[in-house]
Amino acid sequence: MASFEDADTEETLTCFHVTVYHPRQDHNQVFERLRFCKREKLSSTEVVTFGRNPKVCHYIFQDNQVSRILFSLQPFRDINSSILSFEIKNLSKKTSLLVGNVELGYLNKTEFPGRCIMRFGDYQVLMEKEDGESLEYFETRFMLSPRSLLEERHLGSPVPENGGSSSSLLPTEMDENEY
Amino acid sequence: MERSMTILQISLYHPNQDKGVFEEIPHHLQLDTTHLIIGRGRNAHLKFRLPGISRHHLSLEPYLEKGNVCLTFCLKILSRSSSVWVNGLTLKYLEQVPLTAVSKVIFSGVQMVIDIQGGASKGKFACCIHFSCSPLIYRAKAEETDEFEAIQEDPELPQEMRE
Repeated sequence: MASFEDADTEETLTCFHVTVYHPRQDHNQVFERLRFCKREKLSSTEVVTFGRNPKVCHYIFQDNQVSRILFSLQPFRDINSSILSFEIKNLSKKTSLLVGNVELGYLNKTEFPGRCIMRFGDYQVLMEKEDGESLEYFETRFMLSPRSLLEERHLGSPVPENGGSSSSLLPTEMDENEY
Repeated sequence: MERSMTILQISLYHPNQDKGVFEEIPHHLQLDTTHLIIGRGRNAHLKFRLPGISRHHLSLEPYLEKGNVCLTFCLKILSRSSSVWVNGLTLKYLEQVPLTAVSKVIFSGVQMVIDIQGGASKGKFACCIHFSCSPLIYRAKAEETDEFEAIQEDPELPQEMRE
């Protein structure tokens, strides 16, 4: 094991905060296979897939109405940029993805704007990117919202357009002042 | 009736190709919509026997642009230690660029020309690989990729390739 003196300098990781909501999440256990509030480190050369098939996908929605492979999250770097950017790509032939206001059909992709609500079927997924220094790794962190993310938006509480945290959705989250 | 597939006509040249650098590359390959991986690693689709090439050196990703019926391809660099020259641009780790109808690519001394022949099928594509006896791309020497650096920094180089 490398000693403290010889170890590589630690770099902060870009973190993808993913907050999910489904109207029947309490009964259907659709998010049963997601590990909430845990950070998972992933390589930036990986294509991270979401869907129903546990043999192929990193993150599973336990629901027959979800495609076996629904969409992917793909890290990349803008030319000469020192931060990671991401693309979202629809891998489902049957389901359209709404990323913010952009509708993605099969194999369409779009650059992730830094923060947006993604919708497919009854699912609502709020994705927020917190930039880090490392280009080789990034991490994901899932959270469960007890109420509709769209409803939150309509009620005027939370979901600011740019930046910010999802602390309103889970009161135990970190201090807002850090943002 | 089966729809025609998009075909990537890929031509390859390397000055030492008579030493088996292309030995494990098939002449024909068919893929679904997964990324085509080019590199030295065991699970690369196009596997080069060259020590200066990373296990996953670059990828070709098929996707559909909105309103387009034929597949488009995006080339992304997966090598942390060396750069890749694509149509006049020198790209580094995780940088990506969409391919044009005919694209010229140079990495670790390999010259590659990719000619995209569009087809109606969205679910799969094919590659036809040709090996050229003569150079395919002529450009200024100063733009060469840092092949030496790549060899030095690749920690898991197989023993037989170091010798």
